[in-house]
Amino acid sequence: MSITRTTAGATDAQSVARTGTAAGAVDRPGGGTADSPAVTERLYRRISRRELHSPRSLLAIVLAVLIVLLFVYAGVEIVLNMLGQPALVASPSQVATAIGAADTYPTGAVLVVGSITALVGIVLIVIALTGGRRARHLLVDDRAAVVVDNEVIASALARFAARAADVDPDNTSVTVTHRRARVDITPTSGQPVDATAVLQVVTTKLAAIELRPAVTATVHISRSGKVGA
Amino acid sequence: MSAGRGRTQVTARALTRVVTALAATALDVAPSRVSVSLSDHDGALAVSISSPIRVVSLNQIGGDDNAVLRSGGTVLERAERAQSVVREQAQYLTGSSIHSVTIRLNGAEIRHQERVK
Repeated sequence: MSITRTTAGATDAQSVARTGTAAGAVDRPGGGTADSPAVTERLYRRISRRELHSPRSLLAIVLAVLIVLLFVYAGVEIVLNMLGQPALVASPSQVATAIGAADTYPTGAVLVVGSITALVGIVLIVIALTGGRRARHLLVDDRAAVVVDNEVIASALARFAARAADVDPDNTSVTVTHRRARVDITPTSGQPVDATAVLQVVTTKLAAIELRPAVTATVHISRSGKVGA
Repeated sequence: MSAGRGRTQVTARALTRVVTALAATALDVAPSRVSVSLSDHDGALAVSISSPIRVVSLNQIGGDDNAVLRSGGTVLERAERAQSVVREQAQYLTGSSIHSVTIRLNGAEIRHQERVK
């Protein structure tokens, strides 16, 4: 058995594939500048986090640029107003009265604009609060920061589940999410599948590969089977 | 969990052939005249057999009261027996649990019982 793991390279975020039994080749972070275990661990934790979460930098940059542009425009309007020049679009006092007169506008337009603004706000809040998790798990390893795609975990589990259930691997499907692994088995007609045995095998395997966060398995045997599979 | 143990797969085709042979023997007709379809019923096999059955000719029954009994009983009795034989044997040979065996008789093959000379 060789689960192909994906290690997060220490100096760059480039992924390097290696087999679970590869010896030597300790991933040295930062070109030897971080030698103390505490520093290394902190670095690994940071790298793992980077690999496990999707970066929000693009969204943050776009939003920051938009806000900067908005403020630049406001500044220009204020300066023009102070110099007594005609406004580009509307002077600050015109903007203030326009906002104050919102209740005189047609209800439909106000409602639509308000709803869109609220929606954008909610979306941004959700994006900010949710982790932006990627479909990956951390593998406990004291030498390297090891990150595994959920699909890899799923296919490894599927192979063991299929063998435990004595069904064709094609009739086994596993879905791995953040904390759960769902094993779906379509039995061969006339060959009952022992769900508890499958669950035991899968749970043992999950315990052996030590994922962070830990994944709990459930086994679902489909009611109807497949003839001659 | 011995590694590399492998897996034995009995295909639907193989199951069908086994059931066909059993049904042909039980109904005393050629296997080529038996058609079998397999389906799934809650994880167990549901067997559906469509076949003719061999019967004694009417001429003989007219002349002999025991002809039907000698040929193994009435058509229904024999079909019922064939049903249970197919079920037990197929279960034993293929190791699959069988939910039901449905036999549809779609013809009769008439056999002349010859007197032993």
